[in-house]
Amino acid sequence: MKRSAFTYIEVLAGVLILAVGMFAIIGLVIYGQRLATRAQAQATGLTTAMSIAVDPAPLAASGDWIATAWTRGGYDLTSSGSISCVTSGWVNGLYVVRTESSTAADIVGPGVRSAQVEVLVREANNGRVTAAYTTRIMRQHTDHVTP
Amino acid sequence: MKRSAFTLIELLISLAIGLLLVSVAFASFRTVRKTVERTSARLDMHQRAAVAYRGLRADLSAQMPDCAMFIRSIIDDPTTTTVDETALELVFMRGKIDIDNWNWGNQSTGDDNSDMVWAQWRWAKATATLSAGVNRWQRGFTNGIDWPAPSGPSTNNMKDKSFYLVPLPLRELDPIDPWKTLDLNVVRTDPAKRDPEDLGDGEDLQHETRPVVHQVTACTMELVMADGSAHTYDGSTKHTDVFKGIPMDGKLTDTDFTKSEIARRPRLLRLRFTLRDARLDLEQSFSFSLQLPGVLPGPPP
Repeated sequence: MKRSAFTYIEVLAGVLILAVGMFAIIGLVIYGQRLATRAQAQATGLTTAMSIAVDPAPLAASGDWIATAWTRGGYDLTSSGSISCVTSGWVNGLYVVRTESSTAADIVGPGVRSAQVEVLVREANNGRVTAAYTTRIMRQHTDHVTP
Repeated sequence: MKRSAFTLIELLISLAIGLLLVSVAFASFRTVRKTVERTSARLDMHQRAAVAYRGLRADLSAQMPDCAMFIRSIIDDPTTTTVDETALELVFMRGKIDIDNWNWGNQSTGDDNSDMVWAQWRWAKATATLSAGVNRWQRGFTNGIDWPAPSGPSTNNMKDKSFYLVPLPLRELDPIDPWKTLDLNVVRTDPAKRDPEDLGDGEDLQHETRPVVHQVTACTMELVMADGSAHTYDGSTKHTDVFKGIPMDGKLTDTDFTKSEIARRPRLLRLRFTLRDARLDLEQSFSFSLQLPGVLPGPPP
């Protein structure tokens, strides 16, 4: 058969290829956006971790979801044994898990002891760890301060 | 049947499929573009927030524990004739102590404590900027005028003598207007005889303060004291808190250390600010905490 034009099948195949190409482009853009979100988490991930390491109660407005989403554990500085507490919640658009632990050997004086602090910062959308920070801090019980 | 072209139906179906694809793609691209723009704006805000945190941390981690500091919350008061500006100011001295020679009264050699400078972090609502600055470092000059010593023989005239100006560490600040005390950091108290380029004083610090982050629409600072109490400053009330410096010359041997000035110093600075992207009308708040010299108050809240 002599052909002088595209067949219907050929046109449909062409449209299909066009559709695949378009969806590939959209997929690339979405992937780029995901990378940008990751970069966003990395931009403040470490700074957030360093900040939370010294303070598990970041400043938040009254009723702010950041404040209400935080969970905190008890921590008795006057104890003579090992103590630890885990704090977790959202801050700066990131999910943070902070662990503070102190052994009997960390006791410096009455109401004063050092503690090991570990902070893990996770991305909001996929839970991927974007920053981890470990440090040691020193705490003094407020009851031992008499202004 | 011999075919030489599409039929009308075939063309219409192909056209309909094509239009459907284009409309879907157009809507998708529009959504994706909007999402990418928002993500990009948020990335920019995160980066600006990190810049503010790192800058403030660098200054605060070098804070001199023995020097006075102050924080001011200023609110615009329409009932007064003077134009106030809604702002927050945190001023402290940055620097390290040179163990070899930390006699900061020694202005003759100029080789001691050369990195001590007053630092200021300031948020102004009107300009929506978070600014920071430090004094210019010491400067040597030769006194060209008659400047007799207050006592002693007249041969003690300081004319043609060389001096160094350095920012003066202070343990006491004026509780009402601490800037006034910073401005005392001059060689001569007589304004007519003051060095026009006097360094290390409050005026110089104000002059040296530059914007760090723009489009900061709100800012709150909170100082947590050694006893766990917290003082909040957000520009909604006019308030100045001055914290005395602490002596490092043996006075820490207080019988009750916890009653010493060092125990009463603020130990933690909490900062919360809101950044805005004007083009997309987006806002995001960031919260950071920074440790000040001293032991953290406990237990954690």
